[in-house]
Amino acid sequence: MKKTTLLAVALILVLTLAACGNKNNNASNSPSPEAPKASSGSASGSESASASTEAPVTVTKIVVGTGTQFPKVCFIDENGKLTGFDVELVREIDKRLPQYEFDIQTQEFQSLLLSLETKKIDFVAHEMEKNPERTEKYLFNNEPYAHWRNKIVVAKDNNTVQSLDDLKGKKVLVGATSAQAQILLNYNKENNDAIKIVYSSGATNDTVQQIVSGRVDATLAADFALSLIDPDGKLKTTGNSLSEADILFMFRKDDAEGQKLSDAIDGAIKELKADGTLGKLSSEWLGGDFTAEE
Amino acid sequence: MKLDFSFLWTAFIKLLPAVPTTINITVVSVLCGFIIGTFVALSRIYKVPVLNQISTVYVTIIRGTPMLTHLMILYVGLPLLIDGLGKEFGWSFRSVSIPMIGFAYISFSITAGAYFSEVIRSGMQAVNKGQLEAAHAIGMTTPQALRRIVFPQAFAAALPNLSNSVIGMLHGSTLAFTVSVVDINAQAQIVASTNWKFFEAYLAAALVFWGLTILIERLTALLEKRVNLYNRGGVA
Repeated sequence: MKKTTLLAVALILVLTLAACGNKNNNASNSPSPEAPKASSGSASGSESASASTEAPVTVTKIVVGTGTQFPKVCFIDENGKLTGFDVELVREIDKRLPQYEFDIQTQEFQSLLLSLETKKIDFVAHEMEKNPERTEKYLFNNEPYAHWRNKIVVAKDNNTVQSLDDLKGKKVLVGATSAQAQILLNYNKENNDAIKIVYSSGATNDTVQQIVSGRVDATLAADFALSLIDPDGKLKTTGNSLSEADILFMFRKDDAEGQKLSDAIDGAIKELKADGTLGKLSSEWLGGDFTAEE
Repeated sequence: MKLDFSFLWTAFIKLLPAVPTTINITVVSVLCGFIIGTFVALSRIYKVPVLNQISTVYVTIIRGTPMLTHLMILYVGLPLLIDGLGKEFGWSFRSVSIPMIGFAYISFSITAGAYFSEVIRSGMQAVNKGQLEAAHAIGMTTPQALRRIVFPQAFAAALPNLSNSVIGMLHGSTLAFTVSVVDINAQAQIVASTNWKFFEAYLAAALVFWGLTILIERLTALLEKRVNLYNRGGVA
């Protein structure tokens, strides 16, 4: 009996290792802290038409990857039309770059980075936050088109919390695997686990309910995301921003075409910033100008 | 991709604190489920008026809907109900004081009850009707006959299915993370979020679950030996 058990263990390990070798490291390292849904598993349901990166004469066709699950950023509106901040921004950039023609394709968030690597798409527009892990594997353009500021979020009538120190001994709700959880973990490392972290799976959309009912005292969220989780305005942000990240487009690394494209897009974003179009787009979709540096 | 064995081990160790949560949820839901299931099975077999109809409806509804749905409906609905009633009758009890794990206990018990009732029913029906009649013939009352003659044999007949259902509840307990209860699987996600090594963390979680399942299998085997003693047969 023991022998068979041992054999079974060995067999399973070998099989998983083999399976893993085949996948060739594509999906496993795609962190997605700002995705509305935590990335779990690496389902690649991406059946996008193969990208024709090379068009004959001057106009190069570029396939842009985005999603449909991010309200106000990239989503399908009531008329069935793909729109949102990132989508409209990409369309605006397309207008200003005559040498490129953009074709926007939608995929599951989890498979976007995998599709980028396997050349199914040429860049990703999905409110992507720059972080060290991603910089190692992918190329970001240089000119951020938005800034992500994480803040403490509490119930509207709560005036006692101004900083993380005020949350000592209190319960704070964050999504498992989120960038917000990382902020709390880092704080707790220096402060004796002072904040009680409550992990949420994000499946019940009960953040507002939990805070208003007093089950937890606060949560952390990106400032513009608050209006998305709390449309009725029962919560508010408080205190200074805890962390800040640049939002950029993502390209393939070590790819000359990608670098050229990235530079061209940088130029277009600078133009959009200078003439105020970017700020207008942000106010229109995100309810405020989140494109300027603080 | 290389498997990071040292992190697999680290993750394994870090998962252990979550094991009691998973076991608690499983044990509570299985025990409550078993009690509910026995009542439901009895009222259906003996066609107790009213209870029979209620039981039938309960079993079809609960078996006809997913476990996750039960949990979500209960999690959202129960506080509304309790706070509504509380306001009506002036209770001081508020739904906020129900711990999160309480929702998992209640919801999974209800789920388990429906499945267990069918397992128990099949076990009871596996016992020949003649046995009950024989027991009556020697002067036992029906409760006596059930307790002494039918239940022990029914338990033996239902045991393989019961262990199946227990394993199902063990694995189903991973859904508890929906209401922020950190079980083994959720702990794996949390452990991995520091370095993105989800594969190793989930493998470690799988190993823990497998270990627990083997434990259940072994316990069942022991029990099976014990309860089937009567069945050894004299004439070889």
